[in-house]
Amino acid sequence: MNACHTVEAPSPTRDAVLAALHDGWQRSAAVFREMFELPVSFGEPLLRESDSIAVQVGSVAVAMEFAGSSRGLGVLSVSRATARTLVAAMLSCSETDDRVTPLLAPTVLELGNVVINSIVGDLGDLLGEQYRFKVPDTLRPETLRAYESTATHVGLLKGWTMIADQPPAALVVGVVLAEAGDGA
Amino acid sequence: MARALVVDDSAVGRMILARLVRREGWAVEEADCGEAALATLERERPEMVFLDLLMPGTSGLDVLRRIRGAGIDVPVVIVTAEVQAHHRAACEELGVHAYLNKPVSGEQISRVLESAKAVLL
Repeated sequence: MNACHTVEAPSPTRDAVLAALHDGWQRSAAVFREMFELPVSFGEPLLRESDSIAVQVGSVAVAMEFAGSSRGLGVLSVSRATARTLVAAMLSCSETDDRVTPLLAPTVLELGNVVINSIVGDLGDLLGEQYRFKVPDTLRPETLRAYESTATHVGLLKGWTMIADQPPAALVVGVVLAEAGDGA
Repeated sequence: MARALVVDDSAVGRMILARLVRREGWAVEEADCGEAALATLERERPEMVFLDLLMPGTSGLDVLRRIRGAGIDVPVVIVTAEVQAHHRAACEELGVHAYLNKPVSGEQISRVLESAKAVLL
C-alpha cells in the first residue's frame, strides 16, 4: 500500500530513528508532570517500525508537519478518556465538568506540540537536520495517507501511561519520514 | 504589581503559563497571536514578555525582531516546544533573557522572573 522500505534503510538511520523515538518517549513523562501537574509513570513502550500509523477510533489525534532537507509528519494520539483526565487535572475539576469537553482538542494539540517537537527534534539532531515545524493541527486521514504513500521510514510507539489513580491508558506516537518534495 | 505579557496561539499553553506567572505575584496580559502581542506591548508596556515561537501568521521570531527593531529592550523569555539548537541560536542573536523549552516548571518561571527583576531594577 505504500513505499515503506524501513528494513533496507541505510545505517545508522533505522536504529537511530528508533532510539530517538524511545528517548522522546521517556521524556514525555516529564511533559505530563509539568503540564498537568499529575503524578504519572510510563510503561516501557512497544517500539517498532510499521507500514502505517493506525489511529484508534475514538481517540484524539494531532499531527505536525516538519521539513528540512527531508520532510515528515509527527502524530500523537490519546484516547478521549485520557484526554478528559488531563483536562480535568489542568482545570482542577471533575471530568464531568462542562468546561472539559471544549478543551479536549486544544489540550491534545498543545500536548502534541510538545511531545512531537521533542521526539522529532531529537531525530533531527541525530540525522543532522534542522527541522522547521508547521503549527499542530488535528490529524486528517488524507494528510497521513499522503505522507505514508511516500514514506521512507515509519516509526511507531505504543505505550501505556499510568496517570494518578487512573487505569493504564494508551498513548501512541508516530513519525513518518517521507521522500523529499511537496506531495503531502 | 509587575506585569507580564504571555503570547501563545494555544489557549492551553497560555493558561498553563499564565497560571505559573500569576503564582509569582505578577499580573498577566495575554495575546493569542503575534500582531495582538505587538499591539498589547505598545499599549500596556509590560515589564516582561513570555513568547511562543511557533504561531500562525506572525511568528514569535518575527515578533522578537520587531520588538528589537523598535528599540524596545523589554526582557523576552522564549517559551517553546522547539528543541533544536538552530531555533535557540536565532533567538539569542536577537537578544533574549532566557530560552525555555515546554513544558516549563514553576521553578523555572520563578527563576526567570527573579532574574528579570534584577535586570529591571
